[in-house]
Amino acid sequence: MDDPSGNPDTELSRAWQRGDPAAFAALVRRWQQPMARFLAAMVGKNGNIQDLCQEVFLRVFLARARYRETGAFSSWIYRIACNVARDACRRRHSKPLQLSNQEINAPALRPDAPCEHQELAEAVARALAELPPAVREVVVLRHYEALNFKQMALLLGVPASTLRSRFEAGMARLRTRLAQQGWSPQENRR
Amino acid sequence: MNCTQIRDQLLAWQYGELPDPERALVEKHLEACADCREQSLAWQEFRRKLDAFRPPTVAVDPAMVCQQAVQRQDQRVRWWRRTTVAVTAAAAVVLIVVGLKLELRVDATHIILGWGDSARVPPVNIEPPAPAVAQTQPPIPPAYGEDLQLVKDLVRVLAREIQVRRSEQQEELLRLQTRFETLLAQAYDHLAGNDRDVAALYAAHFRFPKKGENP
Repeated sequence: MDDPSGNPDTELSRAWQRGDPAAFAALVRRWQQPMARFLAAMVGKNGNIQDLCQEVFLRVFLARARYRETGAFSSWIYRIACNVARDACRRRHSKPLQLSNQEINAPALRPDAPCEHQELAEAVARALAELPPAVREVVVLRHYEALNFKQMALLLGVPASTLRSRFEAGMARLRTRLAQQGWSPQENRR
Repeated sequence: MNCTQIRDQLLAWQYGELPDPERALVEKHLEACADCREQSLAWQEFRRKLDAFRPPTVAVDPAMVCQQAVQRQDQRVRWWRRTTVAVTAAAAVVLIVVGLKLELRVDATHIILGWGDSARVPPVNIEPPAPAVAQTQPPIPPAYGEDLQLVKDLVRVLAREIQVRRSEQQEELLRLQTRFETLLAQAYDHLAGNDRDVAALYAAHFRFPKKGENP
């Protein structure tokens, strides 16, 4: 999470609040991919991530007047994204994930083993989707979005110690689940 | 710290969540303990596997966002306007009902609408609605005007007669009520007299002689 003083988000959000549309466009460009990653991990890739991202930025735009520079822009946008993800999960009742076209077309990390990587990505997505929403939220924010527990405590309104317990339980469960699917830490491929 | 305690801290250590003294302890232990080092490597490998999750690429159009925002604000404004009108109308109705002390009563034959302190108003007869054909019929010719007037007069006379009868019935009811109350008072007097007689008889027959008195 960025420090509010002297980072591009602060400058851009300030310019945007003054009515500069280019600043908002820059914020969208900076945050659209982190939002897509967060939302995809939270609701699964078969949720319409493009629409959900659009919804996040729409809520950000509408809440412009309420944004204060006392906290980091990143905290604010993640809070909005959390709400969007929760709403989406509520609508979908956390259906199990299925492989989507977007996932099939996602670029592989290792060009020599694209199938293996896709299988692993799919297994991780499934394991994430099986976590309870409150645990999934913490795992995603800590691992993928690199927020620490203090920042998450401010963001979610839950004590840091509780979040740490949830994170450890979630990671242990993910590890067990991946191991059950043949992705144990000792082996590189099934 | 023993191995169990160290393994509990491994995740926090890998994510940089441990304070300096604990971090140093974990690192020192890992240098010495091969099993814990293996555990740590296993967590590292697992974290790398988690990174296989790749999000889809998105392209949000800021102009579209602005356009949607305008539409949503319009919707909100419209919703607020409708809500305000509805709430104001409801408040106005409540104020009128309370302010005028409106009273509406429905019984078998009447709908009574009253307001103010004189809420007792003459009952309004519910008249059956005129048949629909009457509205479509041509205006009544003048030849029937007198008959119609006669019927109207008759209805008016009947209504007046009903009113008179009703007031007579009210008076009769009042008279009967007064009579009933008089009879009730007389009955109470008789009962009291009987009680006195019974007490006197009891005293006469069962009285014990007082001390020094001849029986």
